[in-house]
Amino acid sequence: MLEAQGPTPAAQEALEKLCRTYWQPIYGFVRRQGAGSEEAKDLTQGFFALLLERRDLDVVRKEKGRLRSYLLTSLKHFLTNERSRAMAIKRGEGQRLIPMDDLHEREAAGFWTTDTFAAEQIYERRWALALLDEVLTRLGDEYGAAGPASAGLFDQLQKLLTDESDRPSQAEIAGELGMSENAVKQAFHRLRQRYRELLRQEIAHTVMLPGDIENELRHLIAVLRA
Amino acid sequence: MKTAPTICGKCGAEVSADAWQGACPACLLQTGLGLLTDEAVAGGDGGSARRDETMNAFGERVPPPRTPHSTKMLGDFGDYELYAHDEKLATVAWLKEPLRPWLAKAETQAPRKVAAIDSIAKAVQVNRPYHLPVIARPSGICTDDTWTPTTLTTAPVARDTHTAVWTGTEMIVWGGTPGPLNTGGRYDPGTDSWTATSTTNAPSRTIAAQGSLDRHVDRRFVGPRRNWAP
Repeated sequence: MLEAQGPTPAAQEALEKLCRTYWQPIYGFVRRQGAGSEEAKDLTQGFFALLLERRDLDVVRKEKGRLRSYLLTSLKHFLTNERSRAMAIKRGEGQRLIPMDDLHEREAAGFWTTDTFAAEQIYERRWALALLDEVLTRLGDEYGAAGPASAGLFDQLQKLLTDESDRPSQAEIAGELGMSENAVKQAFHRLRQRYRELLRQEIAHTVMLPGDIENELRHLIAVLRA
Repeated sequence: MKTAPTICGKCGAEVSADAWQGACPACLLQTGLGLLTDEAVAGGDGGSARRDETMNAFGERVPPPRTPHSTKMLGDFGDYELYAHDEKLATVAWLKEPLRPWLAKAETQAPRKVAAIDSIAKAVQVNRPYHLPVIARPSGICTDDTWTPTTLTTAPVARDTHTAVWTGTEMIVWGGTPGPLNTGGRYDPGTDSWTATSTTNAPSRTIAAQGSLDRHVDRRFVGPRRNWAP
């Protein structure tokens, strides 16, 4: 998160990247608060516009806080302040600072309206999903960049990351890919290592203290299992 | 139409229909939790992997050992050492030594130790220091995974709760009930014969005596640890 502070272009870019990654929890929270689709989009865009304009993540640093908590608190203030809200809508209208990828598909699928969780739970669950999407997409891109065979390997091995009972065994994957079981085992070991590194890197972008990474992970796991 | 969420069969978490590849996000994060520690990300490097991390037996990344000033050694127990880190976390480091170097060292040390014991035995006027036979492979008299009745000629009287130890060439049976007994016998499978153990200076009658072969001093102990041998 240190990268996302300050007035430099790099800091601005880092902040914008954070916003692009974590717009879904914001949008989900706003929808759960009763906003319609268009209004929620404007509010989300307006909220991020304000955030990018103020670049006040320094507050998080001073309080040694977490981006997740900070954004939620800021969002609540944003939504309850009618003046800010009006300004935000004004700011947000017509602006598309954050590309809300997949929004239409997800909107059509009703993800934002049929959740039974409370708004804050939705926010945190969506945060976890956005985090995983970012990490696994990045991991998949890395494997994809190495060629189609590597991409195929990733498609199969990523199924093993959860160790769920319905996942294929390493032997089955080896058979499907024409590899030895030992080669699959080693490949999976490397993939899991890289996954952990990327996950740690991504969480490090959202917490101030490195020591908070593990706590953040545990918190998100608890949220998802609640 | 929204696909209904599913329940993870492993952890019971609700899996949203738009979760990555339908995988349980809680389990994914649990996998990521792995062995993260404060040390592994210290330095605010944005989470990049530290070069000084080491791998554990499972090939997973683990933090490097604590620095000496934060570690307190609680004791050296020969085969293992006990440490306390910052008085919060204690770890046990098993100093496992590969077989070959250990064997080479043991073979060079054993004669010196036996010699030392001999000299001690002479000093305390023990009549006959006992030299344990070299443990060797069975000389072809036994067939793997088969049983053959032993001779009963001069065999020790029937007993239970006795102690039996294998020296490498003989089985020694000693003590037990009824009695308790302080008699026993040495069985040599090479000749299929029993030899009664001496009762001279034998320990008092004992039930379930502790029998062992002390690898360090190559000395056989049956019964209380004292300078007595069958």
